[in-house]
Amino acid sequence: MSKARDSIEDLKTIDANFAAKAPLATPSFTGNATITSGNLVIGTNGKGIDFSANADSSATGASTTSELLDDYEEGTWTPALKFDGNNVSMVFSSRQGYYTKIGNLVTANCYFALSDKGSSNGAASIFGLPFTNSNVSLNYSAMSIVFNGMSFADMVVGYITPNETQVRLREVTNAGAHTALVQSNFSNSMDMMMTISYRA
Amino acid sequence: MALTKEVTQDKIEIVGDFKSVQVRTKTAVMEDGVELSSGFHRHVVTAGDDYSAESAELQAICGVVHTDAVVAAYAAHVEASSPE
Repeated sequence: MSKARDSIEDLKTIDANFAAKAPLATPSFTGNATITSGNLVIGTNGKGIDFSANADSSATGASTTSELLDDYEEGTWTPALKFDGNNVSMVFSSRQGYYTKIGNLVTANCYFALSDKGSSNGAASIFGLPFTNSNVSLNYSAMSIVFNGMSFADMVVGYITPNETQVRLREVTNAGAHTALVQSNFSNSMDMMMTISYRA
Repeated sequence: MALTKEVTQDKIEIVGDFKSVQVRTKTAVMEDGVELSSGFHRHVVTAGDDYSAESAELQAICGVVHTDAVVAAYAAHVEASSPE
C-alpha cells in the first residue's frame, strides 16, 4: 500500500510539474500545419505572423520596417461630405463605406449620394474614415474617384494628410493650379464613389 | 431559440498627438447567448468634434483627452495642412 501511495504521489508531482511548464511550451512543426476546425487566434495585442525568415531582396531605396503581420479587420464606416468641416442641412439619399485593414494598411471605399447639399460652404472634404492616418513624416495618400453632378476645372483629386481622418477634395487645372473644391462645385443631386488606401 | 442583437463599443483607442479617439462598434446576432454572426463599424472622434451624441463612456473619454490645448493644437495642424 505504501509503494502504491508513493507512486500516486509521484504521478501527482509529475502532473503538477507538467501543468506548470505547459504554458511555456513552444511547439515547432516540420511541414504544414492544418487547423481542421476553428480559427487561429492571436491572443496578445501586437503579436501576429512573423515573416522575417523570408530572404527578400529590397529594391533600391526601399527599407524594411516590419515583417510582422499583426492586424486584420474588416467593417463599415459612414462617409460624410462636409464644407470646412460642416454640412448644415445636407441630406444624403444614400451612403455607405467599407474598409479592410491589413497590418497598418487601410483600404476604405465608399459611395454617397445627395438630395440636398445644404448651406455650409468652404473647402470640401470627405469625413468619417475608419482610422486616423498615422502621424509620420510625409505620410500622404491619394484617392481614386468617380462622380456625377459636379463641375470643376480640369481634374478632381483627393488626398489625406498625416494625423487626419478626412480626404481633402481639390481641383487642378491643366496649367497645374490647385484650389479647393467648394459647395458651388457640387449639385444638389450629386453622387460619388471613392477608394483610398492609407497607412494607419 | 431566442435571437437577440447586441451592439457594443468593443474597442476604443486614443491615438496620435491630437488624441483622436478611434471607436469600433460591434453588432452581434446572438441565439440563446451564443454569437451567430457579427460585424464592425468604425468612426473616429477628433479633437474639436462635437461628441455630445456619443455614448456616455465616449463623452467621458473625450472630455478628458480633448482639452482646450489639444483642440487648439489640432485646429492649427489642420490649418497648416491646408493648401490654398
